[in-house]
Amino acid sequence: MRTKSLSRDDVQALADALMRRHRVMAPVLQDGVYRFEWLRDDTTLALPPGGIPKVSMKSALLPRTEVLFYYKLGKNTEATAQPPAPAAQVLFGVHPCDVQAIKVLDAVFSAEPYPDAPYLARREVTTVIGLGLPRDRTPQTAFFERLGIGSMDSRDCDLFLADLNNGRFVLEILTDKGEALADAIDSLPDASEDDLARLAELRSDASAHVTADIDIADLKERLSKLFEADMWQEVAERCIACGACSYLCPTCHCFDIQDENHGNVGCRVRNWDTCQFDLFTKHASGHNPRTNQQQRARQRIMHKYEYGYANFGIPFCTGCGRCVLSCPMHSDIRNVLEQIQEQPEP
Amino acid sequence: MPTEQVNLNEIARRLLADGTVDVVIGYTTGSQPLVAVPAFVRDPQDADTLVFNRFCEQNLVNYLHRFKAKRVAVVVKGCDERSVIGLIQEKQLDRQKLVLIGAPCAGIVDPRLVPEDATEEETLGDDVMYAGCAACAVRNPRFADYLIGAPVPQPEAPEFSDTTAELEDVESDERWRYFSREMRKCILCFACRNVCPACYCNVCFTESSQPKWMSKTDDESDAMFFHLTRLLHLTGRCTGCGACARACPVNVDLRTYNDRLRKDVKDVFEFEAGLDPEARAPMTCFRDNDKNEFIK
Repeated sequence: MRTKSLSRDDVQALADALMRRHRVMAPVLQDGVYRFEWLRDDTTLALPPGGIPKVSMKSALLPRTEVLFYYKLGKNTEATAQPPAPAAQVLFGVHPCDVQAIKVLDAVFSAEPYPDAPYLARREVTTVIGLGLPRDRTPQTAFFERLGIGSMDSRDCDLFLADLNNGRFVLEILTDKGEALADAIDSLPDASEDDLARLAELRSDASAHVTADIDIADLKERLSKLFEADMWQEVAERCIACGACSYLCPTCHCFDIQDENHGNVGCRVRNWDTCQFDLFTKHASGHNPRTNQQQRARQRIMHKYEYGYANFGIPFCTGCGRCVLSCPMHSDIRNVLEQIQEQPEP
Repeated sequence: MPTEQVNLNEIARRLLADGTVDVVIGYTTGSQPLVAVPAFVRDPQDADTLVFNRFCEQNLVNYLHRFKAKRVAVVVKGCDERSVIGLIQEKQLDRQKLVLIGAPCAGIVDPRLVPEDATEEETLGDDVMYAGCAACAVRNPRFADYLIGAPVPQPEAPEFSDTTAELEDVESDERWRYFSREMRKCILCFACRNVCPACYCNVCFTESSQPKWMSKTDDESDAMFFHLTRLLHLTGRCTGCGACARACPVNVDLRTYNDRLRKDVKDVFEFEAGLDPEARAPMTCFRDNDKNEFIK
């Protein structure tokens, strides 16, 4: 593995260099909110102190709106064109918990028998640069350590940028995809022994704080018996049924397919959608199998901690805490997990 | 007769114990520091969990739509109480079934302005309150059945957002740029609509699929269409409580546009929603002494 040393200025320069040949999505600061955005010439990279921008990088792989094909309406209605193939892209500064969120999306969208071509095409041309932080920078709202993820955890990254908390960074080049960015990286000096020693120290401290005390297998078992439990009434009581939690969640991936007509031409798109909306489950007949917020709030929790784990062997939550931070009513998903633990055995 | 000043926990307990109400909707301490969450108290023994502090940012009046068949006590700040008045005027609430527990409010803390390491309320000054709160002239509930504290001082005239005023003085393409920029942030999560006590349509136009009034793509025109339609629907009804702006997870500047409409309604119809229970809302009545300056 090759390693490089960077100053804070080098980090911005690295992003600029990558932009020469790639679309680069990275955290920026806009009106007090850190958000992943496609970098432009006039935007400045801004790594958030806690490493987890409120708006996640999900849209780089699952855009809010994705064109599936274009069509022409008429006597012979036909598909006329496919959207262009996605261009090479780099996700810059992705926190370890968000890297695991990408793994959730990978699992869902590559699952047989229906691997998802648009997702996989984007994923194929995506290079992930992780962002490691000293564990004392973990935000109060995050709980990834309880799900077995450390703040210096470089697994599943192509490159890993570790913040040494002293104005210096180490870049680890981990995969062939990472090496393919060599022209932007090679000019950087090799990592100094001091920087590497500090990284090792911070990494071991970060690992030591991984408690992994949320036992997902146990949670799944419990949830499988709680479908009709009274607790959902309490979980849902405060909820106003908006989409803030799911839309900011890096693993929520449900979508709605719509035709957007403009005269006799149009395109079929898929837009983000969420189980928290009444319309989400409404049938063409008018019947709606989920008629109240209790059922919808239950679905969100079940999908994250029961169905996800049952079908793919991983939880659909990586503890980033965005839902905790963004809920207008300040509901905390960690309280729901506690409630599940406290339910009497049926 | 001055409104009776009481202790929040005692009055909640009493109202539940003597059967005056079925539920008290108030606030309790949240799971994180500097956060309060809505609480629904039904058992008098739980009345002690209620709190009121500078973090009680939600407008609980929004929940009253769910409890129409029940007798409810609700904790209201001055701004929230305006929503109650608006909803009574629109025949959505029955004042007789409602007990208003008024909370004089010196301003709610804007978490975006709080230093990252702050964990104690005492360390926060007045400079960390929401801009709308700093300009609020209805800090003291006026029609509440009980007050849980002494009235607080407040500015005299209501102030509208500084940005509203600034945007009035610039060219229209500059206004358009600002509006586009804000709309590009919107992710159509509908938190603004869902927290709004005045947004109570059974089926919002955004939820209609036949006909599909609105597309939900990432094109900014969809967000514009949603917000413009919602704004127009709230004209003369928005009380400026600011719940939508506080709820927005991506900080869209909703206040500027709500305030622009409130200002227009005030100028044209001499009406401010939720202030005077006896006033007729401009969209529900005809007055031959309206200024009519927009008709030439």
